[in-house]
Amino acid sequence: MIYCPTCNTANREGSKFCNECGTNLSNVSLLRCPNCGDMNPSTRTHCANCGTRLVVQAEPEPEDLPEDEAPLTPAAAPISTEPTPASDEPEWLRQLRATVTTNQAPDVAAPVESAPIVTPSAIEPARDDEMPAWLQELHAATAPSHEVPPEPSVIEPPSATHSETSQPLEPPNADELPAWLSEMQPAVARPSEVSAAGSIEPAHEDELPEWLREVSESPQPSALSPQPTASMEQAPDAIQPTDEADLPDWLKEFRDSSTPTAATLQSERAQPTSELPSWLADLQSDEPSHAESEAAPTGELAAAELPDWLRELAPTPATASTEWSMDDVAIEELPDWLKPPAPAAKAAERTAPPVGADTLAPGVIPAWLQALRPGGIATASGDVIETSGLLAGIRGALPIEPSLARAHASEKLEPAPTTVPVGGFAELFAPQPPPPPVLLNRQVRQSTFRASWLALFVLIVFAAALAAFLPIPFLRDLRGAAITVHQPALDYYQTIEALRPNQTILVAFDYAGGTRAELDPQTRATLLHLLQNKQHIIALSFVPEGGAIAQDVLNGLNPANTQFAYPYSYGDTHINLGYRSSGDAALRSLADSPLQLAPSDFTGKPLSSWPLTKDWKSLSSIAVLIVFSDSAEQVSRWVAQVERPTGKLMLAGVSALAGPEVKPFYDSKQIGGLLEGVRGAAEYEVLVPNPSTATATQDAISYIVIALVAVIVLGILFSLLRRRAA
Amino acid sequence: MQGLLPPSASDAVGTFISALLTFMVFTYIFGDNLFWRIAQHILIGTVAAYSVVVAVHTVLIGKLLVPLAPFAFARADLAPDYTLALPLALGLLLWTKARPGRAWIGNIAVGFLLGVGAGLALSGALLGALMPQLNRTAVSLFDGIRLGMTSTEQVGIVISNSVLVVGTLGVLLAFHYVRGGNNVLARARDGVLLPWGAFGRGIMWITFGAIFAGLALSRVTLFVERVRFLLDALKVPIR
Repeated sequence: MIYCPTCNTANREGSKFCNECGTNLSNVSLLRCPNCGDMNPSTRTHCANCGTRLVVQAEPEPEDLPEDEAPLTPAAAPISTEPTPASDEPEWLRQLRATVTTNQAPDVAAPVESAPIVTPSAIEPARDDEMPAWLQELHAATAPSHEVPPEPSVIEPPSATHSETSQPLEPPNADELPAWLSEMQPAVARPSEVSAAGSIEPAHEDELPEWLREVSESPQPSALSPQPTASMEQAPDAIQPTDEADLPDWLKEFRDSSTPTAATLQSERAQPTSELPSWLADLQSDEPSHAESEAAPTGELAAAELPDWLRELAPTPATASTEWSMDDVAIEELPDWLKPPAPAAKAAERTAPPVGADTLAPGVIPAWLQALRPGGIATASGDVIETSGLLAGIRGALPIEPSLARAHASEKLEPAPTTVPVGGFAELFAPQPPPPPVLLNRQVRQSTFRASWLALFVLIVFAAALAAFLPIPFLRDLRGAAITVHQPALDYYQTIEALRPNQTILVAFDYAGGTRAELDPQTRATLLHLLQNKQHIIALSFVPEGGAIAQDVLNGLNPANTQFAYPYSYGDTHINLGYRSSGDAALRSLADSPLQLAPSDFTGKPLSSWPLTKDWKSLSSIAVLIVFSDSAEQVSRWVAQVERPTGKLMLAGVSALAGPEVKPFYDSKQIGGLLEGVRGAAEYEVLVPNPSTATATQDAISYIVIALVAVIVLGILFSLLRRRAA
Repeated sequence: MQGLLPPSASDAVGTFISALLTFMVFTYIFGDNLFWRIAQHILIGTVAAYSVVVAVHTVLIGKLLVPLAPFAFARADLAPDYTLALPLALGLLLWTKARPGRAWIGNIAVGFLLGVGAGLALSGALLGALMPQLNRTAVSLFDGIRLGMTSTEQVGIVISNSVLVVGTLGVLLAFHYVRGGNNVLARARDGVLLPWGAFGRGIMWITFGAIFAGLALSRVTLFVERVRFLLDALKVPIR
């Protein structure tokens, strides 16, 4: 299937133009959706199945573009060796760049100034009245620690110890402290306070609380301190621990905060995002890139004070070195897009897509990142690999710039019809161009004529004419009889056959000229049978044309026009009451008082003047009601208004169209017998037996049906063969 | 076989006109054309005019004016029936519908017609069609089996009765659009009624297909009759 880029209509393979709108499809190529694998036309920007952005457009190599046209790749901006203008960078990237630049030197004081204190910042400090003076000083000293950098001359490099980066702080007077606090004060100091407190005697392990002992026993990030546990062991005897009740509230909160909760994590991670654009803030919130990478090089934090989640982010001992540097620690923590590309890898990236990207399963991309997928390059295998930008190396990413910059052809805006330029109102009243000419009859005929219809018409005419000369013996032989007589027709015949001579039959001709071809054979065969059995016929109609039809049929049954001999005299053997106003009221009137409905025949002569109807007062003298109709509703009216009130036996002859709807009345025994269409007439002719036109007509219908079935089958076969050939 | 038309001159002219009109109608196979339109207009005009003439002659004159005033039609043998003045008045009131300002006067006649018609139609449909059909539907599965029938015929009758009952109820359930809740009883009910309604819709489609086939057969029959008429008019010996 080829999907039209304009209307999205599915066209067959190999189609050059859209079946719906005619759009040229020769240039439409397919693109596999990197998310669901569905094939989409390359002109689509999003997958029709899952909505993933699909735009594929090979980006020129950055080297090939001039400086001002190089695509902006936010990831490359902070790390690139060719820095972009500072105005294009977010604030946190500028800080990070400055940090990297500073860390090129052995002096490691820079991380202190650039890295915010993460964990303790969310802690509600204790009230001043609950804190001793030295603790208040500590609190005051640590608050601006990430805002006012300490003097480099005072801060020792982290190679010595991570806690010796600031000036030692004088301990408070012991008498100002409560006993319990004086014992534990060095141990519970906040990370920045620890760094400010200088050397701290480590506490004995059995004196440590359980949560602090676990922290101290866990491997310490070597990158932060070569001897992380030593400083902790010097800390307090202090951490004598202390019942929960002995701790002040703020210390409890601080201890609890060492275990990262969702709230603290969220608050910590949300802290630096205020300076970022929203899309990058979202990216940062899930990537262990920014906050963690900044938390790692702080250096002043006591490793034991770090919560587990933060220590896991620290560099592993294998990659650690005594010299803290951005290259050793922060870059390890950075995601791929923040890492500066290695020279060899960069060279390889220019020549081929990154191989390492193949090992990155698409499943690791979170859902929110899927939605941010900006673009990429489709490889020969159909996978799309991002070669640059935020998602470099990730399969399934596409560049965002081309899709945003490219205008849709369908987005062209037409000027509103009411938009009139100033001074152009006169053009509104200017004579309009003449409308397109209306097609004349000849043009319509030329546009609607199809040779296939003419061929079909000739075929049907031939089939219909063939039956006039050639019966269908082979069909009859298959069934062993000329025409199979069904039970409704058999009941119809047996009912008439059971009538005694000189009984009166009321026959209704409730059909118009359009169905004479079906019902005339029925009426002729029935009336002929009645006349041959010496029954009397009273004909009437509730259809305007029915009176004339009845008279025409009765005239045709004149023995002079037939090969049979039977009594035939108008007024004695038969009479025609003509048309009577239709409707339920007229039928009910017939059931109640026939003379009131029809006081005269169709010539206007009173019924009392005719021998047949001289004593006719009600329907009680009528043996059988026979209704010939092309409408099931009319038969239903007869049943409801005449048959049910009078209880007279009723027969019906209907067209093939009304047959299925009248059949239930026969099934419910409300109709004693039923003839349906020409087939019913032919069955009756078989029973009578005085074959007339019904049998020949039925043969012609059989020929036509055979011809039509053959045409349909051949058409289906031809269509299948042509489709297969295509 | 002898032709249907008697060999008189008037009938010969009538046969010629009928054959000509038939050919003109058949020219529609070449598209809309002048001959087709002429035949179409003749057919419509003739039918309409004939219906009006028959209605006026048979109903308006024969059943209203002559009985009401036989002396005006030289029918001294009839006694005037003045009760027919009421239907005449109602008929005249219908003419007020021609002017919107006085259309309300005609509502009397319309109300009378609708009231009588609806009353008869409703009672007739209820007692003459609905109730007998319901009685016919409420059959035993073995209804219709008689002594002497073969086992095949008996099985056929049982299947027929089963289809009758299940199909009738299925057609009724096909119009059951209400869906139950999430409780067990509602789901069980939907689990039975929904497939049953789908079966009823299948029965309906079969019925519609039979009706459409009957329509096609009717038109084919008309065509055959016209071809036979043309052959007979051309004095081609046909059986």
